[in-house]
Amino acid sequence: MAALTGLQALYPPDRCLVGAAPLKSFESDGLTAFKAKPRAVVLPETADEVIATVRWCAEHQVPFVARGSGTSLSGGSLPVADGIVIGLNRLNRIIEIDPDDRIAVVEPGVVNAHVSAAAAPHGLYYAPDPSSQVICTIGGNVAFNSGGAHCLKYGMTSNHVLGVKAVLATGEVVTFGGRSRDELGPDGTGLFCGSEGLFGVALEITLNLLPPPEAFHTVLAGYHSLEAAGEAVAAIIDSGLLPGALEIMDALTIEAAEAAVQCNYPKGAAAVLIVELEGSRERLEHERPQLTNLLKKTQPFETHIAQNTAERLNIWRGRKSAFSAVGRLSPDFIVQDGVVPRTRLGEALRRIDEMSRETGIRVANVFHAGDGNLHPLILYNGSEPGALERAESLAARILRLCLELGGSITGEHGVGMEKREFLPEMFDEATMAHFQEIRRAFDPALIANPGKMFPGSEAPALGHQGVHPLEQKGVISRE
Amino acid sequence: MNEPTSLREISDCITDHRRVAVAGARTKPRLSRASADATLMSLAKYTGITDYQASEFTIVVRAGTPMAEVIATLAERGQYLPFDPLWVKRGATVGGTIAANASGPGRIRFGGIRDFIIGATVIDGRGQSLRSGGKVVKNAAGFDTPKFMVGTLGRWGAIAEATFKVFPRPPYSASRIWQCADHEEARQRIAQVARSRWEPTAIEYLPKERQIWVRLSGPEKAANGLLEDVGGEPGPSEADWAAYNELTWADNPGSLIRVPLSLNIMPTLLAELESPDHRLRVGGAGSTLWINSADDCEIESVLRRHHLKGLNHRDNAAPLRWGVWRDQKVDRALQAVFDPDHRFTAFC
Ligand SMILES: Cc1cc2nc3c(=O)[nH]c(=O)nc-3n(C[C@H](O)[C@H](O)[C@H](O)COP(=O)(O)OP(=O)(O)OC[C@H]3O[C@@H](n4cnc5c(N)ncnc54)[C@H](O)[C@@H]3O)c2cc1C
Repeated sequence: MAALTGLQALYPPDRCLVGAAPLKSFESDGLTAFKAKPRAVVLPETADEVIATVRWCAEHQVPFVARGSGTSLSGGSLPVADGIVIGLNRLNRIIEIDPDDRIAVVEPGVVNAHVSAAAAPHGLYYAPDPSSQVICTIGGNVAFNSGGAHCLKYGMTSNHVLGVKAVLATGEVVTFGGRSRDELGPDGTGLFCGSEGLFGVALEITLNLLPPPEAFHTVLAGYHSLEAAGEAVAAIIDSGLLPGALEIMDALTIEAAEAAVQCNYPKGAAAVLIVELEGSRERLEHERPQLTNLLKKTQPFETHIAQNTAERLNIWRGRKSAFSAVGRLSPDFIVQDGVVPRTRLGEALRRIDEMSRETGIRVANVFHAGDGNLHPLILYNGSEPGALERAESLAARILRLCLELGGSITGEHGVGMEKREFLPEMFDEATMAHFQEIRRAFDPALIANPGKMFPGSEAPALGHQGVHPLEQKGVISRE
Repeated sequence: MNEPTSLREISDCITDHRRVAVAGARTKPRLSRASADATLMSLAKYTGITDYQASEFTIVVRAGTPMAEVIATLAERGQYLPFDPLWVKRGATVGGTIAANASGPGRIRFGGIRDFIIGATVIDGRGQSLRSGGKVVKNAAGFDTPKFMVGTLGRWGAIAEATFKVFPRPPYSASRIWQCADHEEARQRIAQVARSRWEPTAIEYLPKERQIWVRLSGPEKAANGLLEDVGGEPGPSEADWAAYNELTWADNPGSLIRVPLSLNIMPTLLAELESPDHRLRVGGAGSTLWINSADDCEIESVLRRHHLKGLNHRDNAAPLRWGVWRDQKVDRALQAVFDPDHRFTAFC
């Protein structure tokens, strides 16, 4: 392996970290079960420094991993052992907000929530809102095509990215898309989104901004069974309404949320449903009674309608606390992320429940019901021998269930390290080979985030998993 | 002309011929102009809606299916593709619409074709059938090649089948016309309406008339209530919009060039292009400039000056590509992945 001298020459010593101690905090990402020791971590402050770093890696065939805030839940930003980590948090400038073109041009280290904050004075916002949004970066969002609670109506990150400037693993600097919402030729921007850091490093990203909805109508409904809550979702979808969010939590999750944040959800509910309509006042005036009538027929035993912003936020507080709250029920847990066709949600949940009973492993369910995106939380105690392996094998069965029902192995957390063995179960051989060839077009030497997304490479040692360190500190919460 | 009716036949047709030009109903003739040595492969007979799950908001359709059929099928269940596909009445197919990225005015609300295509089966230059994306509305597994195929103009592979996300169709739409003094005022008002609380579903600009067409959609009472706020004159009817989406305004001899645009440069560009010889439209709240002209001599220099690119959809005598196109190594490397034997270079 090449000496680091050339790389070290690009940075002052405090921005090119080597040695065990300073590298410690970069050994993992949000999937704390995996750890790997990088050779060095560089902290560029300009795009030129990133380009020079990638070119150094290309020249010396040294693998590198781009890293935003390291909140990936699938091991996407896990270092490659002995490779370089390019930490992008300091590339955090919002280069431009153009209120008339309704775009933001940002560096990759800009935190998701900062875009909306900067756009707000212009009456605009950035729609994708992963629940890690106060900490995760736009670069990470682009690489993982991240989602959130509003995907049915607004789509994922890629639906809000107009252009990407990037340095590819070859050292070539390229631009896909741009300021226009129209494009001629292949959609390179669309391909780059969701490429999980395997193509290169995004340097500058052009985002689409929207005017925020004028008003919200948020309803919380308690049901005696998960199935009834699921049927309510079906009724809403079939009615022609297009809610901004449709979320379900099961009894175990409610119990945890209640203990954590006292959200006052309906007592004794087997499931709660959160429905949020949004739009102009005029639209809501019309849709509100429509939803009320519809929900009545689904026989919730209790319904709350948020009367003001405080009540609305309180309803969301329970939901947003769910992941970290479940963390209190158990020393460790795995957050699974899979998708089933929405009409098969009931069946999926019943079978997950059966698996849970059969294995004696507790599973809490919280999910984006509108788009069939499940987030089963699999609880275990990492200090019990074999517990992690048993939890992982249950997690794997849930993914296979998603595939069997015609869904996907990931709705928003990406394949990363965690699910690479499952990708070939979703795509046939020719398509898998095609994906590999596409990757090689961007990275013939396979130095950009190798070992992720595609099966086969050595997995680093397993540790334990549970609440992200930032969750412990209360900085972020999960959806 | 070859007209395969199965995936197998599409694949065979590609591997049996040295150079293949893929086409649909050829409603955008310049995009499928083939060289003399090419075999024309029309997918117009590879048709059918293979799966429609209204409750899932998904539909799977074969490439040759007329867009009109898809729209009618969705309408029966109160659903639609919100991006107003173009040239539907003239017979545009699903494959051609994706390959040409032919989204109309409606794209301003929830996005264009790229935002609604969630899965695809593509036959590459080696005749391999590749299935990527998913059949569910949310999916983050694998590279997003379905999206990548949008705008590939048959030059990267044959799009054989596609899965779309669909939405509930608003029960009612109504429009207004704003008369502007000049292009700068139009720019300001387009920016204003695009940022408004009204949730417009179309914002189109007719430069010669100095008119902005604004459409709102939703429950009838709500839309009408908002329209009072919007002001302006009672606007284009459903029939006007239907004609607009066929681009009937451009039914004149000459080229029909599409230029991706951003709103802020619109006034300058329009000023430079203003001439009785050019018929112009600005679509998607300043996103697309359409130029219809038989006298195109200064268009090229205007586009170059502004570093813009254009694509000619009609007039087989004029060039296909206009203005400044990027040439990146990676694009060539990618093209070699999709089409290693250069079979799809049969277009000229
Ligand atoms: C508590 C919690 C809640 C979460 N909630 C959600 C949620 O609701 N929805 C959701 O979708 N995800 C969620 N996530 C997952 C995670 O936050 C997202 O995947 C996020 O996009 C990662 O951003 P990051 O900046 O932390 O990226 P990192 O974890 O640092 O990196 C993620 C991937 O992106 C690559 N990458 C980073 N920057 C660049 C760049 N500039 N160019 C190219 N590649 C790059 C990395 O190599 C890596 O593969 C959650 C995570 C946590 C811990």
